[in-house]
Amino acid sequence: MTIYKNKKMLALFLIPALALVILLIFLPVVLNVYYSFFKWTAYSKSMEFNGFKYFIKLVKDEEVWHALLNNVKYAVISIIFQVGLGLILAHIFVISANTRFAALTRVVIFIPAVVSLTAIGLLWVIIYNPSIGLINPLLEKIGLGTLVHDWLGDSKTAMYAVIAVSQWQYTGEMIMLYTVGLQGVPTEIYESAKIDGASGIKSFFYITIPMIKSTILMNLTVTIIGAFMVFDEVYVMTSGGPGKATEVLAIKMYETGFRMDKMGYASAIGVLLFVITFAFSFIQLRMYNVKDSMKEAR
Amino acid sequence: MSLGSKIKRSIVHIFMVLYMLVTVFPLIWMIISGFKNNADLFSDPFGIPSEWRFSNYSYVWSAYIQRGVLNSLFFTILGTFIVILISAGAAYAIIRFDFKHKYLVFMLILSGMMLAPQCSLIPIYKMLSITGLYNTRIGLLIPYIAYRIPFSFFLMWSFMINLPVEVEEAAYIDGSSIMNTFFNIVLKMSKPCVATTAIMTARYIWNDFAFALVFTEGDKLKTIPIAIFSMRSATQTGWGVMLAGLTLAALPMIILYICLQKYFVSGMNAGAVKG
Repeated sequence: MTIYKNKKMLALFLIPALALVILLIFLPVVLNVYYSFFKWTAYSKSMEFNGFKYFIKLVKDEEVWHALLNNVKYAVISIIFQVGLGLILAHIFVISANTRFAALTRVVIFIPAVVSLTAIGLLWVIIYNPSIGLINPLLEKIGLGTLVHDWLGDSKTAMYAVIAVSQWQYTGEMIMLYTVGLQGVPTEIYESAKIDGASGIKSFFYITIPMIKSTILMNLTVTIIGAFMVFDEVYVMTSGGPGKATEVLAIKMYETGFRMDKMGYASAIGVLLFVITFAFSFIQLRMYNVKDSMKEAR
Repeated sequence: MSLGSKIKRSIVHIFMVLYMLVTVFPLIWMIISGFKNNADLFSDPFGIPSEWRFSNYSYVWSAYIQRGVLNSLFFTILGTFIVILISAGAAYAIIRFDFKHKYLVFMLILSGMMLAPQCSLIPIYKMLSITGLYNTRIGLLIPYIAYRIPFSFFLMWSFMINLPVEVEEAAYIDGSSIMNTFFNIVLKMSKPCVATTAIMTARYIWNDFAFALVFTEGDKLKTIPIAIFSMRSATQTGWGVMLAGLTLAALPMIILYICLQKYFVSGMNAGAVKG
């Protein structure tokens, strides 16, 4: 139709989206790299060229490696609970539970995921609190009083305490995602497998996993990206402390830039963060297979 | 059903009840403890409050939350509205219009999904300072909108691509303008997708912490997450008051979710992007 060749209308529809994406999503990535070559502070206009100095510093900085290790811990534990356990539970809920009860369960366990990380984080700060919280009195009640502990205050347990909250908040969401994937699998397949004597474990490996492979891969990349970007809940719960015990890359970047006012070095950390998340996002976007679906649509 | 599988099913059901309790108990504890004072919380953490202190809720509302709610409503409603208009418009242009380098433009917008906002906090902060938009309403609103466009565009595109072109063509033959067709036909037919996009965007903006922390300062523009975070350092008034504040911050999204679950789930399914 000729109306679809109207250039003015095309510009009106397309330019706002393009301009915002280019100016606020792509340009900052370029600027981030540029800024990391300079020594600068938030309130002064002068920038001093520094070359690759910050990137060399980055590689040698033990605090950066420590933060990265915390991100890796975050990723590994989240993969075990959300991607792995979530998948097993989604499978069990579908094959062994009453359908309507399973639906109710999924709706309920999803609830924490809709609440902000800030509110959930602060709630758990109180729950973990040694003098008032919930965890310690509960341990005492069930006779595990010896485990009573300042979970967020001890640098040995703080990181795991923060990661645990994330598992509590998001495993239900993962189960929901898997279930949506499993709805595409005809129930007859499970039933006939059962009649043939296949156990739940067998149908997990031979039906569930192959049938929703793409969902599993997608959830895996989303979880990994989330683990490397993590900022809100750590900042809210511990701000990286005690000491540097729970410092993750995004916190390290924020502290370096906005607390210590070393904007150039913080930008370099931002670049590192970008490289890691971009690599996984790239894999994720490839999985959408948009190229094919766009060609089909033509 | 055999006895064995009945037992198995019961074990699964018991586990599910436990899982639900572990999920819901902290939230219910939060709501109820919001009525307690410190003495109640220390002496009996699991019990019903000795006196239901509604004053906790009214105090935290007027002292901390109220301005945050108004600001968050402003950013959420206006941001969601604009995100829908812009991303639906772009999706429509990609699907129906004829132009060169269409695939390139499509991938350009879509690739925005690959870039995490956390990595760009410093350059955006700098851009906002240079342009004088740091700590202004519009300076926070624009990044919110920009970072929701790629995903919303993708949702809209994958829905609109299945709309029949004949309806629009008939409208054009009847003399409908392109704007009229877009708003009254295309957007109307896309209602389920618009609802999903709205929910996903609202959830993101309402819950955001990092942008509000870095791009604003002071009390004037604080959103709910910033407001409740400031309670952590400011509140000497007691844990009950703080829990009341958290409840007020959490409940709107929980209620929205319970009323509109299917949109939350369909949005998740299409994009698998954590808010």
